Amino acid sequence: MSFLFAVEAFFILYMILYSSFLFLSVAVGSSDLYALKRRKRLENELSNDYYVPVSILVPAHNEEVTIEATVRSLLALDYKLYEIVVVDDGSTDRTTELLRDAFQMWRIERPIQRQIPCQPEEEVYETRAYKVPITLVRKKNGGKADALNMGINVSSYPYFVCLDADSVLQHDSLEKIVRPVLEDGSVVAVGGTVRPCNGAEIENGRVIRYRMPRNLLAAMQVLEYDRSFLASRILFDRFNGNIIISGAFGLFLKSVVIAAGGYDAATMGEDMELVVKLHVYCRENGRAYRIRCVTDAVCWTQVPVRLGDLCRQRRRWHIGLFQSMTKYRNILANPKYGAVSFVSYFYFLLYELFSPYIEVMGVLTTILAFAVDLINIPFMIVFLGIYVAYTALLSLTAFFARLHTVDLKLHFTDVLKAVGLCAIEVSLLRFILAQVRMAALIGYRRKKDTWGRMTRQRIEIK
Amino acid sequence: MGAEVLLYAYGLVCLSMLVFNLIYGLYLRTDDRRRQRRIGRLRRRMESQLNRLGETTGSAEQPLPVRHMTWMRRRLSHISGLRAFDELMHELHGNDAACRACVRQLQPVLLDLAIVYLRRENTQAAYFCYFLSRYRLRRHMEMDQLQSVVLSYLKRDNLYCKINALKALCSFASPSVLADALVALGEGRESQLHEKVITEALFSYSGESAALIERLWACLDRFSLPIQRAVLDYIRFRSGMHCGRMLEILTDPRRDKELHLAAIRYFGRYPYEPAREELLRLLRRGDASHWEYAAISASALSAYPGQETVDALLKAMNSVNWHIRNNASVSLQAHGLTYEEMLRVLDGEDRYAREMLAYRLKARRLEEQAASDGAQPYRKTARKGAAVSA
Repeated sequence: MSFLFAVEAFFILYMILYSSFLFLSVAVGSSDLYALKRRKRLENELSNDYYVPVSILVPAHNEEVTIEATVRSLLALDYKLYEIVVVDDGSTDRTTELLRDAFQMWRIERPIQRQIPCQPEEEVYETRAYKVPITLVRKKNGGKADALNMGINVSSYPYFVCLDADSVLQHDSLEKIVRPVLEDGSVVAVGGTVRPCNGAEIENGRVIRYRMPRNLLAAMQVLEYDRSFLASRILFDRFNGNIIISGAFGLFLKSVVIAAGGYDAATMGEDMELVVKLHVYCRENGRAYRIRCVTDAVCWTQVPVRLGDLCRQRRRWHIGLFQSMTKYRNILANPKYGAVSFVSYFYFLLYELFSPYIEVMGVLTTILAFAVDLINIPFMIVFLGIYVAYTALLSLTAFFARLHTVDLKLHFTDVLKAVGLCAIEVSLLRFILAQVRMAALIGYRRKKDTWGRMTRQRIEIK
Repeated sequence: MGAEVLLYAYGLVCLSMLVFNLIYGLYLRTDDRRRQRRIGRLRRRMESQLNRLGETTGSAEQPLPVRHMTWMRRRLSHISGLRAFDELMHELHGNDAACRACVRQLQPVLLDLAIVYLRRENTQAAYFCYFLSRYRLRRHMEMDQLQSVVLSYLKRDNLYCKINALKALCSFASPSVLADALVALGEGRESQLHEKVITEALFSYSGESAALIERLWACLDRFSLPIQRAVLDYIRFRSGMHCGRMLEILTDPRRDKELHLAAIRYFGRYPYEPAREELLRLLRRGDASHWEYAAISASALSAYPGQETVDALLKAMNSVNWHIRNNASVSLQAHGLTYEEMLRVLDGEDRYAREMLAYRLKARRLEEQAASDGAQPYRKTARKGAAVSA
């Protein structure tokens, strides 16, 4: 009996903290987006051509379906001082041949300054026939992190952007993502906003038509991304507490990344691992630093449209989260790390890493309580209903906050779709993904290096 | 019980935000129409005044009626009115003689507005400074009072307010006020501001740049380090008449490394014979902990022809540092040595040097080929401030 009361107290506390966090993040995110929109309307932004030189690194492994479109979209960016570096990580398809032929690239013996260890290069191609130099490095397969390390070694500029090969940058995204660097010289990393491009029509890096995807799974992920990118990351940004910058789109100061040791090729969640590593490096070395996130630097990416693909992706993310959290476990309750330790790390530990287990434990305890007749079923159903309605309302609030972002308009049918799907996303999809995340660590050591294939679709770029 | 009450409360706040967002969305949909109406009202009031001024520009200008000035003061003290005026002036090509005369005559109104907006919240204050910077009050009038009021905007704890105020001052302030502004800018939290932003703002200075540079030299030690770097960059892009002072900076061991590097870049742009020896010394020193000196000197020496320079650069090709080798190979190319010649000189003893030269040779061919195919060569599109590899 006392066990069940203790469990009840734990769950009430757990839920109150989670609800408060969600509430705070959506409230802060929404108001920040409103303030950002207002600042833009009143020209409170850096509007001149401040060109911080940036290398765009595109790791690619068997990306023949999307890679050409991705590089063409990068050539359409409204930015002058950048270079494109594609790293073919031992593809077994025609990724290299396609790029070489499409962009008239020539093989070149380029000396590579190996500042971070990575698998050796096999061939290097370059072209100067476009507005910015394009370099293609074909190397022995070593994983995404290894490919990014090669990209860092090859790149010429002091800042680099990592970009997934199946993603498209909005025309002004480079200009927007370097702004925090111009505003504050201590910024070492900036995370952009990642949005699902399923349902978007993109022309020269501009979204000319955007509707919620027809595929319901993709549409639910739109709600999820809005909640994640337009809310919680803004809240963490307030206290320099972001410990994730999506691998799909982020800007980094190269010298600090090199000093910290680059990407960890042994980790599946190399994006999170790098950001946590930067926190650790800067704090241990007494370097003043900021890790920022910006909501108006947008990268459009494909989200999985099949449940199997989505489950594989989330399994990978959860293993990556586990690896990063365990590798840097000394951050937990360490006063040296301030809010990064007591808010960010604690949040990710409790509400991301452990949440699937806690949720399943909740279900089991409910069954146990039912068995000993200690549960008030009508009350439980009402309470569950309140909770689902509340989290659905939060999702909708985050979704409607897109009003304050650029280039996205609300359509009546999209609103209907969002309203219809938010409760399903919160109750059903979330539950399915909780099972996936819970199972992710089972057999983790055996399968930790397996990424799993995701079906690629051609990105419609005009 | 209790937990669900908290959820109700949170839910209620979220619902309010949702409703607010929806109402705001509707408001934005009609915003264009409202703005056009405001611009129309202003246009009707302004056109007759502009016509009058247009007829008399060049001779004795007719003053704007007091009633019109009062109306403008009232109208422009609302941020929506100021935005509408900004757009109207833009439509009317704000730089023609009548518009300039109008802005000139509105000087007392602008001074009043500067005091009004100084008390407003940061976003509006920053917009007012942006407005001032756009209409280039220029130096055709001495606006001492306005300058000192705009200086106060720099003391506000808001980044955009500071930057826009600096740009406004660059458009009409005197060199000494601008120097004071830079001192103030280096004192606050925004001392972390990237030097590019400061340099770009200084580029928009519409007065005599020689006078400004003189003033900046005189105040150099009052500026914070990032501002000093920005000022040296500005001087580098504006004038080659300051080699002596730059050499003093380069040879002064008390100066920061970043200032030394800025001076080396200056000598790369403006060859100065007395600096050659120092550049060669820095290149030869090849100090591992301060390799940037050697790397940037290697670049700068491309502008100093002579056997001694070529010998030093060839020796630098054997450096263990990638950046030094890379920059030295580019400079050797500028000295007219073909890569085939360089390869012969090096006689293939150093594999790293050989690889670097071979790469440069091929890269140059790619550039030449791209140029002959009609593609826009990449290097010509890069703007000032492009990073060197180091």
